Amino acid sequence: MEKIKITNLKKSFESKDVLDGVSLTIEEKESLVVIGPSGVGKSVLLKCLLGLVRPDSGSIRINGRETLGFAGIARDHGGSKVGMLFQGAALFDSMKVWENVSFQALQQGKGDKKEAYEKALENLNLVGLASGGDERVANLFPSEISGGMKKRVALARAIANRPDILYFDEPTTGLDPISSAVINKLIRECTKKIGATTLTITHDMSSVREIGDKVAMLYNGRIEWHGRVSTIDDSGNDHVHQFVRGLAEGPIQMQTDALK
Amino acid sequence: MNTFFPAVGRFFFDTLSTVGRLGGFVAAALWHCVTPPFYLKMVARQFVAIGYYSLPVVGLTAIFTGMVLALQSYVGFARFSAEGAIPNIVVLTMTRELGPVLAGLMVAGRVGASIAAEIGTMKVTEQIDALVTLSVNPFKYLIAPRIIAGVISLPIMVLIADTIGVFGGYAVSTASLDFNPSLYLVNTWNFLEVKDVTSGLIKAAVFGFLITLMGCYHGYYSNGGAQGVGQATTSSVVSSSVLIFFSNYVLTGLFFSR
Ligand SMILES: Nc1ncnc2c1ncn2[C@@H]1O[C@H](COP(=O)(O)OP(=O)(O)OP(=O)(O)O)[C@@H](O)[C@H]1O
Ligand SMILES: [Mg+2]
Repeated sequence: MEKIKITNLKKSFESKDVLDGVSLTIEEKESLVVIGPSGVGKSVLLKCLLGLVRPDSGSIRINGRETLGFAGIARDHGGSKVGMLFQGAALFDSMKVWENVSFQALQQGKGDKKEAYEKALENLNLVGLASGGDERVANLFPSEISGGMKKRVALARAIANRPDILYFDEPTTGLDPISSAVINKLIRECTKKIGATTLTITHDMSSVREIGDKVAMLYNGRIEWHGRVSTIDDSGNDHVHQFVRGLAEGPIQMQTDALK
Repeated sequence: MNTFFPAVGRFFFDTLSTVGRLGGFVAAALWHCVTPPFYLKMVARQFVAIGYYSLPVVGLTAIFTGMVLALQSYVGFARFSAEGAIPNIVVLTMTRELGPVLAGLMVAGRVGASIAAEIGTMKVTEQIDALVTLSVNPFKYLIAPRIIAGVISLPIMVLIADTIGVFGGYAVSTASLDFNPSLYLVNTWNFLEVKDVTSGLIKAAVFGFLITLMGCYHGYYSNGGAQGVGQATTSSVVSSSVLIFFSNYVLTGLFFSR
């Protein structure tokens, strides 16, 4: 079944076309990874899906329901619960780690504080930050933990509400290879455990192979290529080939004028 | 000429779109102040941050202002033996003008800047986007509590500042200007009208609204990292200070013109 169906989505900023007719379908419980060079609009695509950016035209259907309402901004996610891991973690720095993780439960007044705390520990345990009932990390502030730990906390917050759709924006960027591998594995396990449909944005080819069922490449405002992860090495597409191999020469031209 | 007209056009367009954005922001902020859900805990926290922690600086400003008012008006009025008017001068100036305006300016510097910095940082680090994805409306959670707290706490602070200012004038007059203490208080009280105090408190509520609104607005629309946040704090303090003087003039005209 189709979970998310994006049709002909367009968005431009000050006459610069960032998304120029993106169409993409994600099946229920599928994990799709979107790749593409820096600045092609991957984050913008995600923000359109989340209702943080208003697309100029096009359609986003979730669970078969159009989510671009009257104001053109995606609102209710077709009745699905949604979790999001931001590129920079975006933890609330005025709150302790556990309050971040249980933020939504605390705001909705579901259960009392103690219950929310227990739930936070449970979720932190899923991402390996409260193993063996260790409550130390839970009571620190985000400024007191490392970048890799922040991403894990953000992951715990994203899955805390047991969403059926998860969005990840560059979950492993800026992490060492071991932390990246840990995060990839956590994403894989967590999403399988809660049975979510996921859309991940990444530059990191090891992430692509670890997390994805399918891959889509965004280039020039459109989906350049879309296929199974296993076929990525012989896609027959020059752009994908250049990106996967990380070649400087090829159809994708980076802005390097400043170096000349 | 080639660049003149486009430049003029762009200026008008930018001005109009800024005015439109500000208008939309004010409307949304007011709407979310009066519709549920209310985050009462956030209101209480902001009440403490805006009101309680500003008391020392507002109190100090008020006491020195009251003292200096007594001294200066003594120097002036002694020339035509009208020293008896000092209690009235002090209490009227404090309640009508200097209480609200000086408290407003001190709070604009202290609170307006910190609101802009806090919300601006949340904006550039995507914490506001994160709020939205966690189904919390940032207007209700961040902006409405600050505005509500500002509108309530400023009048209370001004009432305290008025009292402290009158006490400052009283202290100087009785200690070094040979006033009779009980006569000073009687004179203060007898000439004071309810309207003198209430007009000052209404001004204070308006200033509280303007200060918190400007802090939230500049913070919410800040972009570009640390520099953008720095700019937002400056803009917030400057714009709320100017708005305080401007609205003070308008309100004084409304209350006291014949
Ligand atoms: N709010 C905005 N206003 C104006 N332009 C924007 C805005 N947001 C994004 N852009 C522009 O849209 C383009 C795509 O940005 P986006 O953040 O989606 O890139 P990205 O693919 O996520 O890159 P990266 O991999 O580096 O994160 C950029 O050129 C950026 O300048
Ligand atoms: Mg991005």
